[in-house]
Amino acid sequence: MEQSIDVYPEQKGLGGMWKRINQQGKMTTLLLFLPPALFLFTLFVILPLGEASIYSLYKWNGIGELDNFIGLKNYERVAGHSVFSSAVVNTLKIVGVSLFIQLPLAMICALCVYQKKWSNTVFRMMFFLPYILAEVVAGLIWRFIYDGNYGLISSFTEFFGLEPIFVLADRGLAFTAILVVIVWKYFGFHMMIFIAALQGISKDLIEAAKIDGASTLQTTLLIKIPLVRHAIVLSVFFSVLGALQLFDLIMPMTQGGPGHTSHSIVSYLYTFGISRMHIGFGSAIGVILFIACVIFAFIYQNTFMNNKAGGKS
Amino acid sequence: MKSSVLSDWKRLCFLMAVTGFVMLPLLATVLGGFKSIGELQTNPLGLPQSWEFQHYASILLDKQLWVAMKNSLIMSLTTLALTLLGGAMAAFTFSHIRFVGKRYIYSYFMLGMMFPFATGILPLFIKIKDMGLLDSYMGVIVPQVAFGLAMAILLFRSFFEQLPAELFDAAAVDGCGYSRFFFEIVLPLSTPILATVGVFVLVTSWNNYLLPLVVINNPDLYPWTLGIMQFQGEHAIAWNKVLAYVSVSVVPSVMFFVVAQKYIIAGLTGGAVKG
Amino acid sequence: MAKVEFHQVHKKYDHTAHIVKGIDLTIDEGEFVVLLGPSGCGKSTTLRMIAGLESISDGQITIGDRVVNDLEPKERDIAMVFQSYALYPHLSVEQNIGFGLRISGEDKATIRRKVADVAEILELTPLLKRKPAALSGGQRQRVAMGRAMVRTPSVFLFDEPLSNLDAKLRGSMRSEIRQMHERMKRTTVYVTHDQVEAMTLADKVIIMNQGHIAQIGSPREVFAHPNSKFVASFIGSPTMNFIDVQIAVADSGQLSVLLGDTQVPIVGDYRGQAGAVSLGIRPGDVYIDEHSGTFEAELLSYELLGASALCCFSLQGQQINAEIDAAIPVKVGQRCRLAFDLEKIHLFDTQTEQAVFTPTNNNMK
Repeated sequence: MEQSIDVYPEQKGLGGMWKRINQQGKMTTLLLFLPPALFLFTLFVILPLGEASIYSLYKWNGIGELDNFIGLKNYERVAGHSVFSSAVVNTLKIVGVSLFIQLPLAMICALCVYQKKWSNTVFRMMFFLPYILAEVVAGLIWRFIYDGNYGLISSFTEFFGLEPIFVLADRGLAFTAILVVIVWKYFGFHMMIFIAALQGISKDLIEAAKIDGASTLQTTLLIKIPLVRHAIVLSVFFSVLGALQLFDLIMPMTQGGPGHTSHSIVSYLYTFGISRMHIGFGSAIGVILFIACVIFAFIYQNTFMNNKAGGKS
Repeated sequence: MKSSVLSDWKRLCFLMAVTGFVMLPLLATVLGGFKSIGELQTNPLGLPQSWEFQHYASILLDKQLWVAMKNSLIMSLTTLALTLLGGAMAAFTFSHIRFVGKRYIYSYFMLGMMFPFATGILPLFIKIKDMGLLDSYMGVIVPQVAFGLAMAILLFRSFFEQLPAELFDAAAVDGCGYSRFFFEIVLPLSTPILATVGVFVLVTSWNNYLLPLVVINNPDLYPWTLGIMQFQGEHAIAWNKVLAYVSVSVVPSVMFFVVAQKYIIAGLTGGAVKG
Repeated sequence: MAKVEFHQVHKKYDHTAHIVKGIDLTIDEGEFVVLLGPSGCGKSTTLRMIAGLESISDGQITIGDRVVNDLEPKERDIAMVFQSYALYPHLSVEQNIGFGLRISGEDKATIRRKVADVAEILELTPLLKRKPAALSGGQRQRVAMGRAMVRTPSVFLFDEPLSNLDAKLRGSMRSEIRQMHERMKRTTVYVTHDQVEAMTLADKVIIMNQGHIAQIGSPREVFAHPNSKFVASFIGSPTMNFIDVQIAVADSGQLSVLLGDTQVPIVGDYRGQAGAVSLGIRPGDVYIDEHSGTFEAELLSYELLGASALCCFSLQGQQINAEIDAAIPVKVGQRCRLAFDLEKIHLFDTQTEQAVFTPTNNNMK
């Protein structure tokens, strides 16, 4: 290669280097645009998480010095607490109901209304409506429905001449009642995800299947559903993470009662950690929840979402 | 054209059943606000025999409701503005600027998608307390923004990356640097994604319950989600009043949904499915 | 007004891809230069280095008398028309054209006047308030040109500006670009992979291949005297035939081409060795001549093009195309005698693929 002559004559030194790096204000922009988000995110999302794992090793009420180090005692107490076990079981129930009732319901609805028609749009909007309501509102509405004296349930019992049932005060029924509300509130969201995916299927494929002699049912089971696999994978992901983090619905309906039988993990955290100011104990619950989420997300993404954008750059 | 699993009338029956499941509770709620307690007991679902407007009237005249709505609105709109701006600016650096460690910083943000809000709630509470932000709008707004950033950055980045690269070249030739390109070209072209992200941020913030519950103790600063719970606590047995309150408080969400449904659905289709 | 000079310019990406491999080049003031080459040859990268959209890995580029290596695009006094036009979709035609002026801080009245002038020339005046989405392909193209013209830069850059247009529009836009150059007399660098554009527009064609400059010359020169087999095959449609032949040099110095048993004497300046070479001849320079044709060949296929027809012959086992008058009646399978226009043959070294022969009668220099 030939020697180049007087390269960059006027661009030597630090100023020149800065100018070269800062072409079109690249660095200035980077230094102005990125740090605010980075700072906020670190301070309010990442740091609290780290602090939670530290607090979880102490017995602390949030006031005074953080000096009562008790090692993993908080974790032992959480693990040994029967209410925590029931909260975990409840969470698993939510996952089960989400996967085996909510998602199939959402899929059937999606198959019924995914085509672009005026009437379908109306159904879609109605089914989606509960999703946009605040959880507390949904909780209150259903608390009324379940009310043994006033609600819909009461009109049934009255109609059949039965004793009034107080669903939410019944240890055996309270959490089942909450499960119904979960389906009611969230199936529309999953339906929308499925609809979007179904609308993305090329019409040619459906027509090809028809020409190949597939029945409507066969087309659905063998063509449409496999082709929206990515949406199902995503829905399952959201369902499980949502179940792990459920809180807002529980509070207006049962506040975890009766007898702490209807807690979710987060309502358990709130009741026993936050409202009693057991910072260490609550943090331990939070950390357990976090680990559960991360393990699930990690395994799930690596198993089902390999080449998808979920969290990868 | 036959194209669903079920034949047409079966399909319609099914849809009507689901519609009943979804809508009856809502219908009962709205109508319940017009009934007397006694009627509510005997006739929870049907039309009221005598329409009692005073429950709705008293709710609408209740200053507390409007204060709570105002509080929610201030917190949601501020959250919205800050999340959109902060998220879009950060996403722009990921989509258009090459820098060392970009991949790691991006992944770092994406971690935020997986973190349950509840995990950090106690340390967050301590932090907000230490910063003196308890019982202030900012105490709710700032953490909301921080938690909204991950999704905003994800959606913005993929949108920005799909903008034609030649636009940036053309702007460079026109003498337009990175910052100006962002504000003059990228943002105006990003209205669809701004709207989509905006709608989700707004709805999440508007409906947020746990964070204000922890941060705000002063009833004058209550957002409507806390207000409604307080009202319910005060009028536990007066279901007709509670139902009227619920119905009224739902109106903004429903109105917003009708107006913004296009973007909500775009968010689910474009963002959620890909994200 | 400026001259553009390249001095040993390289472009590398990371450590893997070496896109431009040491280019030396001078583009004179006011000249219309076309960078031509197959995709991936580095022509667009070269253009983008002039624009300042790609950094220069090594070497030096000057515009006028300034080294521009580290200057930003806006400091280089250039304007560019992009393949996809790159119009700002949210701005009107008027705002699009005036955008650069606004960025550089011109006052509104000046901008309006300049934009109006350019719009007048390009017949865009009725469209000024429209958004790009409401324009046809040709109109968008003109807006993109207007955006470049309004800034009266010293160098115009075009990156395959016509490739998104249909064939008919392409023809008329070609002449508009040519007219614009006539009017403004600015140095222009134009990238394309379409040789027709290169032939019709260029003062000077630069043919690039795999990061190197293969040949620089006027359109006529590169067509008539390709200096390598690559240029010969790249320029001209239908493509040049290449057949393997032997060169014999008699004691008298007489050159002849040997193809099987046939020997044909040729006259010219031969710079290679006796032995195997690749003979190139354009299909238009091959004739059917039953009387004096020297090569016997069998017609394999016949494609009617209109006034002429493209015939594919088998010539001693090698295929050769001839573009002949459509009026000549021939049948597939028929044996014909072919003649070559010996003043238009090219010989290429089989190893280096460089041209090694200049026929005497066609000596231009």
